[in-house]
Amino acid sequence: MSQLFILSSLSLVFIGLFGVLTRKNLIKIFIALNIIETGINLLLVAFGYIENGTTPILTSQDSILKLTSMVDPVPQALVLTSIVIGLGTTAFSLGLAIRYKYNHNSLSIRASEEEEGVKV
Amino acid sequence: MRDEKSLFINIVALLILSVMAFYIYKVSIDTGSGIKITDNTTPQMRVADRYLNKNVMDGNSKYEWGGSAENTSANIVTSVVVDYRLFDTTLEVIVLFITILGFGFIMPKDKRKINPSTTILYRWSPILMLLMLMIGGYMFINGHLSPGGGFPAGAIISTAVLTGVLAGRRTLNQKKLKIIEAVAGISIFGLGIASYLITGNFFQNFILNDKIGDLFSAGLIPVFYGLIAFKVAAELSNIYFEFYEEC
Repeated sequence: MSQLFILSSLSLVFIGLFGVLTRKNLIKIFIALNIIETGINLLLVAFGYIENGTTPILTSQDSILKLTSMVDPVPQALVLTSIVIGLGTTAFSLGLAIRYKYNHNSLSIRASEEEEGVKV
Repeated sequence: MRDEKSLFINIVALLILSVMAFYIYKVSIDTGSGIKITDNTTPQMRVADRYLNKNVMDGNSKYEWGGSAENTSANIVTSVVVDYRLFDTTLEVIVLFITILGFGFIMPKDKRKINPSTTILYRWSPILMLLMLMIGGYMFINGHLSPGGGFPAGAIISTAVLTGVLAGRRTLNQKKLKIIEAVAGISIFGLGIASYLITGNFFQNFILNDKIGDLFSAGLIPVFYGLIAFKVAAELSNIYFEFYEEC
């Protein structure tokens, strides 16, 4: 099961890296960066996973005795930080993309070179 | 975007990345002495145990374990986020605030053309907004009992504001949002200073001896989560207004 988590998070990270390396549209690059972030979040949550684990919530009187069968709460709390920071950076980069489109009239990352007539 | 679909570049990138991915996968399932996901089979190997039992202070330190931080919240993740790591959570909210500040500098200030909404969205938006506000309120009120909390509740409430913006309804303006944000932020730090004056520790939970599992339990955790929910909702709605530049 843990191999499945490693495989899926790795494949998400590398799909995102492929997008960052080969795409030239800014919006597609931001989407690829978000895919990388999702893969890393999945890996962080997988660090706390145990087989047949339950959610870390005390629901009944005797659930305090089953603390060892609950999944680890600390990585889940850390992922919350990562999600919020990812949202902030995504929103800021989209604002920068609007500014870029306003200045260069294009969303390509080679827009400034194409304007000057550099052969790309 | 000429050579974005060029075959050669894509094949080279795929080859390099697949080699890297294969190498990292082989390393990560290796049974060496590095980090292994399968380590957490016993409770002593888990991250939470190492986190709680870490020893970074010597005997002369004046900081002491209060003894009653997490004995009232049913949701342990909420205990970690709001009791142990409240500094981190408040600074996350400040990171969002700095994002809004940056938006004001980089967004071009000219008038953009905005398409009017359709009749269906205009008529249905109040119903959708009511449902979203109900779900958001439930999430931050029950954040210490069930999955949820301040950040998802803030996201849901700001989605209600976004629906109003998309439908062309006048709900809030940016001045009111800034007031909500300022009041919530000042209240969070005011409660922190109050807990410093009462217990001697910044951000310590000073309402104790509740019954675990009740709606009004867990001391200051629901209060902090409500304030965080309003602050996050105001900040995200501010982002939507900055993108729309109307209302």
